[in-house]
Amino acid sequence: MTRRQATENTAQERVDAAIVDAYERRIAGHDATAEDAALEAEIAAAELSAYVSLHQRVATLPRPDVASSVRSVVLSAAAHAAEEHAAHRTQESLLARALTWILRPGPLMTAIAMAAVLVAVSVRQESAPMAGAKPDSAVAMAEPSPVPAAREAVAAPQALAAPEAPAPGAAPSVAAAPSPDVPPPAAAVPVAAPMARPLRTIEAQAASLGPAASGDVPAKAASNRATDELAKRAAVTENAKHPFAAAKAEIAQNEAPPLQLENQADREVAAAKPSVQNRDGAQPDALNQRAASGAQAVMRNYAPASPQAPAEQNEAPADAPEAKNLAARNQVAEKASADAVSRWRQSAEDAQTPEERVAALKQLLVAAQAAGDVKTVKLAQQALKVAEAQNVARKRAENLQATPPALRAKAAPSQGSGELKAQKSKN
Amino acid sequence: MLSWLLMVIGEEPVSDETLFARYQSGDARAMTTLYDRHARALRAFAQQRGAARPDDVVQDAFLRVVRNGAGFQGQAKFRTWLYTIARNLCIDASRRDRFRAGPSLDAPTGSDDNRTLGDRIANDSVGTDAVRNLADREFQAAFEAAMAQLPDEQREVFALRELSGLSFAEIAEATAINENTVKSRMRYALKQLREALIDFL
Repeated sequence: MTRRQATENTAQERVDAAIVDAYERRIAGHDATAEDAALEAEIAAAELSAYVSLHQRVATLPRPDVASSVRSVVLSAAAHAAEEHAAHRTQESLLARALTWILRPGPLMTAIAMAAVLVAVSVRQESAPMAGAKPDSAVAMAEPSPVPAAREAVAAPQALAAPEAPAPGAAPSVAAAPSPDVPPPAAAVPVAAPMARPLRTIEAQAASLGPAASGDVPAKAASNRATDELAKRAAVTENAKHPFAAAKAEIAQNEAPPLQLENQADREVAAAKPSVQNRDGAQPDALNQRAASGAQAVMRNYAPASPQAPAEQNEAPADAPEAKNLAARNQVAEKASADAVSRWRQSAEDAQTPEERVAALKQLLVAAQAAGDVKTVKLAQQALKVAEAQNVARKRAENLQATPPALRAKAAPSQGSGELKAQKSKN
Repeated sequence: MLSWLLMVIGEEPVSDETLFARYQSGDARAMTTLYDRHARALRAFAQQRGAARPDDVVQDAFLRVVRNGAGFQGQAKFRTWLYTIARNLCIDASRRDRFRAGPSLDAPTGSDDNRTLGDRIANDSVGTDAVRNLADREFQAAFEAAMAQLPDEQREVFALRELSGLSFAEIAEATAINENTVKSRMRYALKQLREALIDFL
């Protein structure tokens, strides 16, 4: 079959020939030429035309109608369902419809926005009066309060001197030999700070026992000097209102007197230190160790109270700054009074002559009465009586020695008070 | 109301989804329109899908649409939803008919005249339709024979595309397969039908 003859065949034959030729070229491995591409496009076009003609023939096919009974069944069911749906909608309660209408997005968002605005306005109204009045804590923070300085002054470590041993033949010491019927000093002084005093005693005891237990005491003493000055100034300003203002001001301007040991354990430890030194002449290191063990014993006695002391010092009523100031002033005044008592007590103990001792005891009596120290007042009164009696006895002995023996023998049978007064007047 | 009148006079075609929304709102006439629009094509699809009783498939499919109308949310096309239901019914029917030797000639066909299947075959064979000529009858017989030779998936795609008029996207959604797979199956179906019906083209 030549190409010319092929062109004269029908279109279907040409398509078949082209398909065969294309098949032969493909299996021979030749590349497709432009003529081949045209032929393949013609083949594709012929295929598409065949599909189109198939589609047209299929579209002309009669499609059997669905049975009329099916139509009636379906439409009646649809009508019934529509009626039920309409009846269901009419039977909806008015409340459900109202809820459906209310819960639409628009009204719901509007209600939420209005509620938010009302809440914001109410909160603003509540916060407005609160903003006008400062909180008490803010006021307390703004005003410089003397309470911390006073507390520092109370808790400041002071130079503590161990009680001296009483001289033989001297008058009984007020601090070292309390009477058995007198209650303990710590309980007898109600104005003293109950928690700050043991801490101060512990620190002072540790400072007096040696370097093993007093490593930080000098630093503390140096840092607390400024607070002591503040406390003294506060005491001076308070003296104008106090009945014993002059005495307190004088005491506050002086140096801090040595603090007396007020606990039985303190006295024991203090008494043990010189006795060891005097008895066996132990080395300083051994003495320091023993003193450190004594200090540890004291610390054990005060162990339950020491952790609570800072906490209680920090607990201050935040809502009463005036009360805090007043309490601090009272505390400073009490400290000054206690210092005055201690100072005059020490002066009475250190007096060299009976006259000085009597004068010191009188001052001590005045200071104890000012401080309200009942125990010290009683002890001072007793010591004052003894000192005055000793003074009277000493003067009487001096008068007797100064009287000549003849007069002394003459006056011996009738040595009454009249002769004695006459003798005194002569002297 | 105006759109309904325009739809009735044929000036504005209303979509299936709009009609079904009207039916959901209580308009029963919308369902009538939907039935008249899709019933015949649905029957042809059911018949090509191998259903022994295509009218039953059409009826069951529309009844399911009526009963489950509240479940249709308009996310898919109504026609896709309808043909998915019909396809599932055809699959269920083919599973039931698998164990049946063949349709009984004495069984009713479901039509109006209560004729049996044997009566319908005899009457159809002699050509009750007066306008149908001999060539068309020969082409119809050859076409049905060629369709019977197609694989089920190709026959389904061809019936949905050529007899029911669904787009390839709708066919892909109704049959839950890829659109390109649908086109490939259509290509092979056309090729086989072209080869089988080359004498009529």
